[in-house]
Amino acid sequence: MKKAVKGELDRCIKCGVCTVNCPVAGQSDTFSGPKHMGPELTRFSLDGNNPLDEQVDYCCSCRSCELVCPSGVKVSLLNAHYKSEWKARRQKGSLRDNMLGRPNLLAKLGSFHVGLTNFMLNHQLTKNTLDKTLAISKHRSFPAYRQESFIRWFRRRKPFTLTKKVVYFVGCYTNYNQPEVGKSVVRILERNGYQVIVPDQTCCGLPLMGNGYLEAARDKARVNVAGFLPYIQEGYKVIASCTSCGLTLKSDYEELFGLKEAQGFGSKVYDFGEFLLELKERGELDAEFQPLSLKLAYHTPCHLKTQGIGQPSLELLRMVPDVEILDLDQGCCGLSGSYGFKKEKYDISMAIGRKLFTEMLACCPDYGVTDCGGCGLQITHGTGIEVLHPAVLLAKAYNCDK
Amino acid sequence: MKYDVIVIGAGFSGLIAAAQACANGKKVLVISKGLGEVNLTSGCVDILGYLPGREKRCITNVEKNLQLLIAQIPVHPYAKVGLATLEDSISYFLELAGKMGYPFQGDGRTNYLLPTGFGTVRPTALVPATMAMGDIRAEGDVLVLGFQELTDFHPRLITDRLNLIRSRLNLKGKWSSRMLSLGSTGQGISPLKAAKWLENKHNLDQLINRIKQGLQGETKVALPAILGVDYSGDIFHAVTESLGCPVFEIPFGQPTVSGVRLNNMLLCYVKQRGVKVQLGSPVLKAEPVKDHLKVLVDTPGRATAYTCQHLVIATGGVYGKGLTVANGGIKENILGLPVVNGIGLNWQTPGDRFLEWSKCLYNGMGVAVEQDLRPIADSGEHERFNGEWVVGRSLAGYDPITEKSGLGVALATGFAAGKALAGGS
Repeated sequence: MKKAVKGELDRCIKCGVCTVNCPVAGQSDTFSGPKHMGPELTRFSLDGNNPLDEQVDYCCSCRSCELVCPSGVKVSLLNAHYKSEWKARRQKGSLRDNMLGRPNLLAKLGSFHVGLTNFMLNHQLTKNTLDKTLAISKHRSFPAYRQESFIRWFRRRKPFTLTKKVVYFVGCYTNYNQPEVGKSVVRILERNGYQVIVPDQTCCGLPLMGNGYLEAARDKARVNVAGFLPYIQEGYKVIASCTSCGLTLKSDYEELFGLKEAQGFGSKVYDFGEFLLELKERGELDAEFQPLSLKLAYHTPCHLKTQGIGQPSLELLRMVPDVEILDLDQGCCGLSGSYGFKKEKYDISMAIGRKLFTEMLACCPDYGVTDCGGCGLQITHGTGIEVLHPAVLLAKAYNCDK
Repeated sequence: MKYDVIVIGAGFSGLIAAAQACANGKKVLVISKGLGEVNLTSGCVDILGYLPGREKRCITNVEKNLQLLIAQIPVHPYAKVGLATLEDSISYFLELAGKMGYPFQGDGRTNYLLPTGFGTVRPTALVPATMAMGDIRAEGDVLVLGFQELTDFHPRLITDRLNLIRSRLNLKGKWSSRMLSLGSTGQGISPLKAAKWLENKHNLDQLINRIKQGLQGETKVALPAILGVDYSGDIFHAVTESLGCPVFEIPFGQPTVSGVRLNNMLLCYVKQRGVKVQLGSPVLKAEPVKDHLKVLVDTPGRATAYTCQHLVIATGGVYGKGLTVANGGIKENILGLPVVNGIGLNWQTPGDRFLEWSKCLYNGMGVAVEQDLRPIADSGEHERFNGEWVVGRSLAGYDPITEKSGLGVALATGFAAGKALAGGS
């Protein structure tokens, strides 16, 4: 085991504040809390006898534990290592987790015939079958794939040259399910004088990591680092519009995956809102927003909280005239990517989100707003309220959404 | 990102300072490595439990002994802010807690003597309504209930020891204990799990029935502090009403449910008042730049810079990791302020006294401040510290563990700094 991981162990004083604030421990009888997972199981395995505890599979990787730990222990780092070891040593592999960990592969398969895939995936018969055979909850609806992915749209677009440039990490969900988010991001950045470059890229690796396939995730990271490195060396910043992809690029490539070539990579990554807010602070942001007479309710994704950059998109949307936006502050939504799709975790996932759903419904907003596609999916599933990415609303306010 | 005030530390002193500082529309940010250690407290506000040098006698008359304390230790934080400010801070806190629907009792002039989970007595001044009936001096029989699932709470231990103490004081009435089952599925569950479990109405009703059946004419019932994580007090009221007799909680375990409630109540309060709270963000350092202060925060990827006019250091002491002890000395982490031992304990004291609480060097360590809680600069140039304030456990001049004055000092100093920062504009 790596030295860094052992150092983390020694900082844990077992105070249990992580457990108090763990969304899963609060809702599940079987999950005893973060400190019993990474920190303690890792400690017990220091003598080489790795105890197998399948509880670790119930960690949803939201990283709330890291936010609240008074000792600064990277609990989720320990959990990720432990989960991957547990998965590797388990006798039976999991086809489901392998599939759910690879959203880009699923999307590629699904894109052969988008209409048919979408129809099939959300047919009750398919859902029942998936529930029975793969233990994917039949209560979930799969997000629809789009006819044209973002990257395909971007490639067929007329090239656009500006002196200032940024590189864009698109993310699977934006690419295949919500290309309009990517389009908005590009248009907003161009409006502010930045040419957007979209290098060759793959999934950030977080879904694989969350499912316990650290090695496979590391391979994804290598591909992305190779694709982005030339541009970083040019001094360009990397923009991520998905907060989970952004966090993974920022912190995990170097810290968790230990990729030598990723040294300094994270320091060049900016959340989309963070980047715009920085422009604003330097007085470089185009603040000519058209009024949008909308009532919005904002949910902060856990992986944005962990980035420690506040709520940039909330501040940006507050600049738009006539927008009324409420900060819900109701904690984790409960989906955690593929976690909430799993049959045995569906109830926990929905129980975690209940507070957020109640508050969202009580607000009666025109739209929910959140920076994470997964959170959006969960909120819509739990409330029926349509949820938009801040970029889509900002593009509307710039009148550049078409 | 620009703020008027940045408070570093989300413990009791930091949150109180932030709550006060935002009073006149100031933009306030609380930034912290993690949650403060309020979660690990009993959930009561201790003001003064013991006088240094007289650790055997617990204080009941706080008012009188505070006068003695500040005469004895002129550098004590209570002496710096003044007893009038302490009193104001107490009223402020009581009002705040009342507004949040988690009322506290006590006036800060006298102490309650409440039982601990180990059957010892703790003197404390401000107590949540759920514990107010627990004074061990009260006459009458008390039934202390324990639950098989809660392996860390032993009612027998509590009653045996308390009966001994009470008989020495010639107090009437007997404390007896009884074990019940919560009826939950888990074996060996934590107080928090139990508290969450009781937030389900069905579970609660079942428990109330079980308690009712076991009552044998006792006039008062004590329960482990598990009556809901939520600080609304709904569960406490439901239990009290159904049993028809006074009920009180005894805090135990770690984190303590009552500590978590107090922490959540304060967090909720400051957020409601518009304070931004940013957790998981250790501050690397802060330094004056021209007319403002720059705060550098360790965030994933790279450090993030914040600027502010005023900075409140509420990072805690040695145990809270606001002060770092290393070979060659002890230092305050954010500004690198010099740390002193304000109560005259000698650095050279041999190590064998380390575990003797009242002699422990670290207990008295902290940053020396002026009357207004601004750090005293090394060179004596006061101008250097125009925007910085130090509150709570980071302060020198007191020993919260021996005195049992931790949250009291945090409250008074956080309040004083916050009030000054809010200003008039």
